[in-house]
Amino acid sequence: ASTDKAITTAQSVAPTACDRVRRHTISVFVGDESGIINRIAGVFARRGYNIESLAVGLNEDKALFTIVVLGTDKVLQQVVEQLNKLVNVIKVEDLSKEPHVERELMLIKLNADPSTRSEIMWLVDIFRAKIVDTSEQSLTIEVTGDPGKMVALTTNLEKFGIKEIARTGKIALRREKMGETAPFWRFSAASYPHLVKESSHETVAEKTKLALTGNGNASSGGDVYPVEPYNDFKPVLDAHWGMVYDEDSSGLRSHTLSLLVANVPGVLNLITGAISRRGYNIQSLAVGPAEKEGLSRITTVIPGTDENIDKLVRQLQKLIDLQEIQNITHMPFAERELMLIKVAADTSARRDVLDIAQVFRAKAIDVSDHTITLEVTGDLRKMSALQTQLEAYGICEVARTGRVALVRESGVDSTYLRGYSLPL
Amino acid sequence: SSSPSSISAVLNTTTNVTTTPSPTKPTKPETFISRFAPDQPRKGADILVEALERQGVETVFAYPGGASMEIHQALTRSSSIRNVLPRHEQGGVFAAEGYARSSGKPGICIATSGPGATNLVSGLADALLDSVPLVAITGQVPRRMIGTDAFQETPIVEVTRSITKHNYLVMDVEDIPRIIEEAFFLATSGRPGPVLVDVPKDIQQQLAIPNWEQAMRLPGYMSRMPKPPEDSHLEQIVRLISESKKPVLYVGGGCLNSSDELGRFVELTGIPVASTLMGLGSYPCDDELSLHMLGMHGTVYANYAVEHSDLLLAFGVRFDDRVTGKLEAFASRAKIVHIDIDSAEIGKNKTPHVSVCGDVKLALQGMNKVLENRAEELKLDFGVWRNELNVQKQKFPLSFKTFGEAIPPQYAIKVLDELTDGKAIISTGVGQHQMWAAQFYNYKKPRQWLSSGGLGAMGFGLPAAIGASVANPDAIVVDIDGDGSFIMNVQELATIRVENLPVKVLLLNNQHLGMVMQWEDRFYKANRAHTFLGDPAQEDEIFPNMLLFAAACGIPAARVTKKADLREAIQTMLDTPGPYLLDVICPHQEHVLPMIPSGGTFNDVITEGDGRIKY
Repeated sequence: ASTDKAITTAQSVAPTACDRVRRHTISVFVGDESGIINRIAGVFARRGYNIESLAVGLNEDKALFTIVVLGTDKVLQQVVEQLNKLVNVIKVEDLSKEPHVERELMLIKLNADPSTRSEIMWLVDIFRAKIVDTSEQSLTIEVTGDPGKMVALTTNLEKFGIKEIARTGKIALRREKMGETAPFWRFSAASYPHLVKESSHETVAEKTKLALTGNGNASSGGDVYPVEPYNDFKPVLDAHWGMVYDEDSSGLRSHTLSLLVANVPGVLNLITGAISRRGYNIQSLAVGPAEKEGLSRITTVIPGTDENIDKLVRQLQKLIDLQEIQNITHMPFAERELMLIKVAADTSARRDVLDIAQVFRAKAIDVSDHTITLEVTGDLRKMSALQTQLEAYGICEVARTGRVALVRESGVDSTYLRGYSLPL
Repeated sequence: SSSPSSISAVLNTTTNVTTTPSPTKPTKPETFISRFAPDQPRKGADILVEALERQGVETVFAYPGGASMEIHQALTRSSSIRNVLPRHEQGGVFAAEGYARSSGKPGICIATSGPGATNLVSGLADALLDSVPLVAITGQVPRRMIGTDAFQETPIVEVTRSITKHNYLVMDVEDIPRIIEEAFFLATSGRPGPVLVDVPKDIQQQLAIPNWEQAMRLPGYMSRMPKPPEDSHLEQIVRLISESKKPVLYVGGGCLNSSDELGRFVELTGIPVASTLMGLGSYPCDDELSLHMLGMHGTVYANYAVEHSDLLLAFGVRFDDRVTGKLEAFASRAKIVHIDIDSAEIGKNKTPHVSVCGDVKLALQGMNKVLENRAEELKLDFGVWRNELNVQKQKFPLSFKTFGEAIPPQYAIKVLDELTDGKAIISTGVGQHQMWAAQFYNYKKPRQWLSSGGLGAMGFGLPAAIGASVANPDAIVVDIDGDGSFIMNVQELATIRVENLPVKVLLLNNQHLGMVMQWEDRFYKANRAHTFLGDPAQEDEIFPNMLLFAAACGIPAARVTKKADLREAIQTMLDTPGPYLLDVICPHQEHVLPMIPSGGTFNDVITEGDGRIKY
């Protein structure tokens, strides 16, 4: 989180070159475990490291964290060592040592009346941003870029009055050097079952439904706790990051929660702990600074029924550091996710990959003789579709942010309009 | 100053792990005979107990409750596992620690959900800080009730996440064999530590056929297992030794498994050895080259040696603040060689000039080989330096004063050392008595000294002695305890009686929380802030009457108040078969000396004074 501002670690007296506080981007590749977000966040909370941003891309059996840490080289070394001590961490890399591309996604909602709208449009053009929603009084803008661009854009837009900001946190991929081979991180289609077969979210729904509805016919006759039938039971805390978009018969679906929290040490640990402790799964998590100083916005996606999520929201509301929580699932909202994807494509395949990229409006941001790195924003379905297309060429690395979402002031969600024949 | 030529084998690159020696799996008895037919369904609890049997577990320290009774039922069906029933879960986890610390094998404790599990917390934190291999198993409410604030539910996995090496919540009965194997492997490999396994009750009850052939799934951990030390690094260390004039060894808990190699290394080099609290016994304390303990309450000569050394050989240590005092001033004249199995410890507090991340045992073996081969040309001789240290030894020996007939607590430990020939296993609580037990008992072997070092958990001594006695039935086990620490787990006297363990308690009773009192004397104008543990209404009576605690549990006990009677009383204690409590009444004015105040340097060392003087 941009949130963990604890005790600054050992600052020695005479600052030499290696004592300088710098931003380091590290990527942490972890194996499957429920509560892994909490475990990683716990390392930072307990050791008092300053994290500036954190992005998590969750998959079925592995997750990639991109964490921006503020500190000296010595602090960074400690961060890496401490993360390495976690049993389920597969690999920790310091990307800032090497040339790399970094991107962040931001949604900004700002005041816009007809007199200012044209100036805003002009700025949007300059920053190559996109407008994702518009209403009488406001505009919602989506922009991707490196952190510097984010700052520049927000400074320019400030005078119009920013209503809300949701940021994903930075993700990064290493730039490939010419004449080398890129490592494959075993990102095969098999690690995205929900991407491969569209219907698999049914099984996710199945699993979670049983866990959360708790409709088991708890028979009496236990000793201290009721004895339960075993066969219909599926784990509560099982890690499954699949998507449940459409409401199924039991009312289970993915809920998007938007939380505004105070920037205090360990707040991320606190929130994720409260969620996993109660037996809920986090499908997506994005953390970034909010529109107000000292506050962070966490956007998270959790599957459950309305009733269940209401219970969770009430539990979260008990947390002192939580300023505001909103379940925006039932409101029309604009939702975006950012993905950087490195594809193995030599010169002969490059044209084909770029053609596919164009269809998906993905941008090529780095090219070498053996790989090409694409940046794409959109909702999860778009990501999965793109990834399925690129699977044939071989995917080297994928870095994803969590999803960010802002309520549409226009009150229109195009998905609701599908299936209706609109009068022309 | 020039930048240190730092070589380190720490940083793992992205290279694969083929060079790593395949980590030795826990040795399973070759011919394990299961009580169940291979295809016979059995309860999850029986699978759990069989998994423990397969790990060679002989003793567990388990206290039952609603969510763990299935495990206890299964334990009664096991013919090879003995349960020592503690009278408090904290007693259980400390006893498991005592078992592990005294034997080197992992200790196992089992508790129920909720309060049972939270009572383990102090022990888990203690085991993590002191790197003790421990497997804690807790019952949990049935899976369906998790997260509902059910009766006796605590999210113990969340609670213990940062005070265990790793922890598990079992969500599938099929995973039990694999998770238990991983738990034992994690607890004992690399830098040892506690692992907690939380098992929901419905999983304990579920019938299943276990698959014992599942492989462990620890790819990240395995790839980071330390590699054998590189010869070039070891040769560089030998070169640094040959170039140095005033080298000193700073050995810690990491050397407890390599005392033979350490002994040989000292024999070959003649370098004096200062030990941390955790490392006591890894080199014999009565040896001429031993400087005994260093640090806050270490000997003057050990701290002198570090202060004036030009080469600090830090083996299996973590530069704890109780050892270093002010970090910048610690070993400020020395080049530092740091060998540790935990790469996070290297450079954490002090930047080493040469570091090796790996097993101290292998490193010592490698260096010994180099030293043996090059003995002729090296001709190491640190006689001048050793004479310099011997002068300090004579000038500032560990000492105490006697006032009339009163028993100096240090003297009591000295007499115990003499009467047991330094061969007893000693456990302690935390406080003044702990430091005196570290200073005045001459440990000859590792795993003779059991004490809560990093965490400093009071009440550790008595249950740890239970664990030690269970693991070493023929050894003399003495719990040197204080009146404050003793009463924190006094209920374990019942365990000692019931199990008929020959645990002796040497209780140094000064009616005060001595260590805090000492700091009050020195830094708070002797204002007593709740550090008097007697009865304020009757200050001259001994309160509580510890002998009656022993009597309540049918344990023979005696009190001694005069120095002249002490030797005989201790001899009686040692001669009485079975358990015994000796209540030694000591004056409360004694201070632990020498002492370097927190954050101080060698120059701040205090060697004089006690509670009879005003500061």
